Formats: sequence, C-alpha cells, structure tokens
Amino acid sequence: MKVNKNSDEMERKELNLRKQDTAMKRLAERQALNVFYPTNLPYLTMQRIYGEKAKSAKQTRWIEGIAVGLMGVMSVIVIFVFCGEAMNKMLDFFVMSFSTYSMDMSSLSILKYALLTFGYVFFVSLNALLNHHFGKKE
Amino acid sequence: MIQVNEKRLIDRILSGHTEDYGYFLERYGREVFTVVVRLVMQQEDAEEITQDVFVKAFNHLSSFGGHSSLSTWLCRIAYNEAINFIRKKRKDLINMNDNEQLLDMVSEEMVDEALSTEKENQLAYLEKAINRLSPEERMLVTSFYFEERSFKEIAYIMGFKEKELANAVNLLTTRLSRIRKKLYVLIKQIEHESE
Repeated sequence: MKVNKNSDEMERKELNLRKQDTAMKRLAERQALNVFYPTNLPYLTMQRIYGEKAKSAKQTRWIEGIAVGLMGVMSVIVIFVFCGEAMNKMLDFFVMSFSTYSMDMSSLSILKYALLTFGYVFFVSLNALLNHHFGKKE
Repeated sequence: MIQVNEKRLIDRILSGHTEDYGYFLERYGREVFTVVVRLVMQQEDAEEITQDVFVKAFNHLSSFGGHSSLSTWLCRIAYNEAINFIRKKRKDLINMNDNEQLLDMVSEEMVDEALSTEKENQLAYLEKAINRLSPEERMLVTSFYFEERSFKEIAYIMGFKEKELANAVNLLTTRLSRIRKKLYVLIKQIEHESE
C-alpha cells in the first residue's frame, strides 16, 4: 500500500513538473517537427540484417566444411592405423579374385588405395547428400 | 507489459521469419532515431547508430524478457549505443563540471519563471541551453519533457537494474532539479553572449 501511495505521489510530482514547465512543452512540440527521420532507414536496416545473416551463414558453412575436412583426414588416419592390416587382407582377396591380368605388386597396392579412397569418398558424399536433403535446416 | 501480438511476432522472428522484423522497424524506428539524434546531435551519426541499435536488438532478441515494453528496451539499447559512440568520438562532451556554488545560488522560483516562459527568444535560448547540456542530462530532460516518460522508465533506459529502480527514481528527481537550475544558468549565459 505504501508503495502505491509513493508511486502515486511520484506520478503527481512528475505531472506537476511537466505542467509547470510550459516552455518545455512548447519546445517539445517545436522539436518534434524539427527531427528529420529518413524514411528509407527501416529498408536499409533490413538490408543490413539480411546481409549480416547471410555472412554469418556463409561463415558457418566454411567452419562446417573445415570441420568435415578435418574429420575426413582423421578418419582416414584412424582407418589406416587401426584397420590397415585387416583391410589389406580383405582388399588382397578382392583384388586377386577379380584380376585376370598379371599385375606387379606396386600396381596392386595403388589399386587397393584407389579402391579404399573411392569407398571413402562415396560414403562422405552420400552423407553430405543426405544431410543436404534431409538434415535440419535453419 | 509486452503486447501479445508483439510477443507472437518475436517468436516468429526467432523461428526464422526475419522479414517480420520490419514491423518493429516501422513502428519504433522514429522513436529510437529521435532518442539517438537528441543525444549525438548529428543526423548522419544518428542514422548509423539507429541501424546499429536495430541490428543489435535483432541479434539479442532472444534475451528480451518482456519485463518492459519493447520500445523501452529498444530505447535502452539506443541510449547505450549513443553514449558509447559519444565516449569514443567526443570525450569533451562527457566531462562537464558544474559550478556547484553557482547552482546553489539559483532559487526554484527563478527556474520556474525561466521554464514557464512563452516568449519566442527565451524559447530559443532554452533550446540552445538544452543543447549545451551533457548527453546524459539532455537524455533526462528530453525523455522527461518531450517524450513524457516516467522516471522509472528513464532509469531503466539509462541502465539501472530492476532492483535499483526505486533509488534511481529519487536520484533522477534530484538530478532533474539540478539540471533545471543548470538550464537557468545556461540561459543567462546565452543571453549575455547574444547581447
């Protein structure tokens, strides 16, 4: 109750002060006419907001790209370090069973790594494609 | 305090409908611009700061709690942006020492008389006197008299926290009384200069 009383009193004081200083009221009316508000300001501001949003989206895409690249490199390293032996055997079997020509060992090795890279690129691309079409959009 | 349709609009903007923000620009742009131009006193600077205010408000829209009206919240951002701008560009305008003894000599009656004048030349002096106030003082005067904001609202705009508002109101009342005296002194100075 005391708070209300104080607040009422304050409001009354404010009103009295405004009423009493008539010169300020006249000046306020005059100043309101003097302020030149540029009508294109909302449009320009919206353009700036769109621009900043696009810039931030582009930045996010770059960061995502770099992160995907780094993850890719790390995945390749992990695959080669931890599954190298098993994959070598598997690929040896695969290459041998399909090659009807006589190939030297270095060509076979290149073929193995080419197949491995192709497989990896295929899965990364598939992931990116699915993400692009079905992933959460902002 | 916040209007229901505005709350809905804010939610829509936050969910990705950026174009809806144009409504707030149309509705509050002039008000924010007026606050800024009165503080910085330069048309071009005020235009740029007003844009900054709305961009900043857009980026922090999720933090708007609805405890005050959106226009007051925007004016608070505008006040901060304008004061920061002035601090960076024109340090001289901030530190203006008042002659306390001189102000003490001015009676309330003298101030009342000066601020209730109807004469055109006195009004022109008063306008010049307001322009000579520091940005914070000018903000208080223009918000109170020209925009008819309450002391509580002005305190919020000037950056006082919710808990401090009651004390801030008393502080602003005292400060306004001091500024009225200062305006009287400045009017007399300007009168003297123009003679």
